[in-house]
Amino acid sequence: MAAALFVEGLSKEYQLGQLNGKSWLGRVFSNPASPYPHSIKALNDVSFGVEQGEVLGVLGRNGAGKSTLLKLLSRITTPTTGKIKQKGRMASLLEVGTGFHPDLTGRENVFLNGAILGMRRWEVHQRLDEIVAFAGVEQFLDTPVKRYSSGMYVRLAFAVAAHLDPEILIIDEVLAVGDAEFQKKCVEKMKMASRGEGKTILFVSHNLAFIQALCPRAILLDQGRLLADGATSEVIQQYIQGLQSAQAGATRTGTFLAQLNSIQIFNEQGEHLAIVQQSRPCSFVLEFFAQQHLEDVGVALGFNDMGGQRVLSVWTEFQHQRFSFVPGINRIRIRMPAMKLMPANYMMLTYLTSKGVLVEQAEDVQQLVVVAPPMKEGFAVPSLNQGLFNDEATFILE
Amino acid sequence: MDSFHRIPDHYWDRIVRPSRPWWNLPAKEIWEYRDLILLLFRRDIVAVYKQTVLGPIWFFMGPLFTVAVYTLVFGRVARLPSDGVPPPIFYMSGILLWSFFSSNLTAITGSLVQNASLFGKVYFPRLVVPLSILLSSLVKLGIQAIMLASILLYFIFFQNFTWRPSLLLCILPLLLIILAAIALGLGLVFASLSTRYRDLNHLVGFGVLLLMYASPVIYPASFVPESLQQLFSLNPIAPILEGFKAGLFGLDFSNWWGLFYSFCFALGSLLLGLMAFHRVEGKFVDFV
Repeated sequence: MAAALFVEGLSKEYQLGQLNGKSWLGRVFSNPASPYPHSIKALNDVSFGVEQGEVLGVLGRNGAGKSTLLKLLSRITTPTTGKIKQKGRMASLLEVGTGFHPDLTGRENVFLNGAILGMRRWEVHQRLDEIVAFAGVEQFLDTPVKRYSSGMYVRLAFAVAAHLDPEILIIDEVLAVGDAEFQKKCVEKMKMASRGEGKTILFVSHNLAFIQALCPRAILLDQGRLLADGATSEVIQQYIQGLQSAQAGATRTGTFLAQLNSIQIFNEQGEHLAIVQQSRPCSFVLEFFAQQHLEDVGVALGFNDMGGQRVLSVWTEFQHQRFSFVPGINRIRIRMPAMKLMPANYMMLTYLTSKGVLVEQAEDVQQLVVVAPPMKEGFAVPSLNQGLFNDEATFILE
Repeated sequence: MDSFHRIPDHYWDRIVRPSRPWWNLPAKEIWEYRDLILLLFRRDIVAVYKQTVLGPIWFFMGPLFTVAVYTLVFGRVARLPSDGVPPPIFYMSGILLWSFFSSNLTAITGSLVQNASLFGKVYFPRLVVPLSILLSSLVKLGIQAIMLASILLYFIFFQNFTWRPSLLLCILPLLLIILAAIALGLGLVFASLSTRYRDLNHLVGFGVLLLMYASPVIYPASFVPESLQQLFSLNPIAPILEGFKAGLFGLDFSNWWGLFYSFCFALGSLLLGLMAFHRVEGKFVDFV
């Protein structure tokens, strides 16, 4: 194997406060003995090497230094100390659609965007058909992009970037855009790039399932330092442990052969929800990390009111269902045809068993906020005054 | 990791370090991005007349109105002399070079701050943007040169104007190069400083306006009174405009020292501009 990338003792310091930036008058009047530090090390002596054809996952909480590392790798800003050595062309998909001009047509923007990303004109020319087909915007190629739907816009932008031909590719959360089908297409494209074409890929995402599926090796950043570098499953485990210690409120009991990693809520269209509307369908996606193979797994999701009283539970036992867990990431989707809880705040808890033995009970993991459906003029809104639940009953005058 | 440490430097295609020496221009890299220069230039030109009825004709309207207003205000009302040349031709020739200089200077001054969001997301040699501005100004200069030529032809055929250019007109390319170098140099200095001090954007706007009145755009150089000549000779733009008009209208030109001064000024400002630009280009994204 040949080396593709070597990051050597990389550090980046940022100046704090805006006095340095804007006016010298402000500096004259500023307090020289301010107790706050004047600079912060966003990245602190980070070193790692990547072989050609390797897919490396980059993990870390918000503010751990991931974006700083990517900015330095893609040369948007220069390091304070340290070096980045690379073999071959490097390209980054930090934010798709950079430099798109709304008044120019799709075709014109493809060329402009390609050039911004470092492609020569003939290279774009050669791949134009492929790019357009990938994005699925054939009919709109000569329409100004300001008339595109946001989905088309993002697809076209990603298509340009995905058809770059670099030896090293840096990808940051771009898979979060687009619908499920397009995401699948992107993952396929990336797999092909690394396995088929021997490209080196650095992949940054909060989606642990993607990281586990794509990257055999991962690094973990925490507060600007390199905390772990090794096999993805081990690094993910360390990452989750860090997350759990940060989840202050949660109390966990059990054997911990599998542990809850996250609860995410989606609507019917697969969009991420922060709050849930009453009487609307929604799904809860529970992500567990299992240490080993588990048989006869039962999962429950419960909701407590803010007084700690259990108000609702959904449990695999009730549905006569059981699963088996593979080592690593396991996701369970709980679909609810309609959210029946009255508008209020609730605390969620999960309960995981295997062969009747408690594996993990995690309480107070996350809040659920239920809001009332859109109000109709002249009608009352459901609230806790009328009870805990609201059902979609039909009323008929006979 | 040790195996990576042992790899000799020449194995790598690129090594990113905290900084590079300022004289080490990334010329090769800029050349690799020549398509981007062309496309940014095309974007600047095309986006101006998208969704307009008159389209590219708008490029002619601006200078045409300016010439009309100048002829009316400075020629008819204020009765400034025009070297014995019909006022529209005189003003158009002044505007031609002046707007090339001023539009370059203001656009390059604003280029870093205005494109900060683009620079914050993707890397390309930052000098690409000022260079593309230079290119689009050159095209606008060409359009205005066509206008000057048509006004000239109109006066020759319909107003019995006898046009006697002199050989001096041949140094026009040199004059343009000096002018572009001054605009690029000063523009880069101001652009670099304005990433920290936004005041400069306002100052440059005023400065350009003032400098126009200090340059022989709407009046001939011979019109400047003796007492102000010393001050006037400090303006590096004046000898260029003087030389161009002298060549175009076949007038006497003796200000070779002035032209030499402009040349030196251009070299100096270009060097200063590149140095200043180099100081900020790697890090300005952090504080813009």
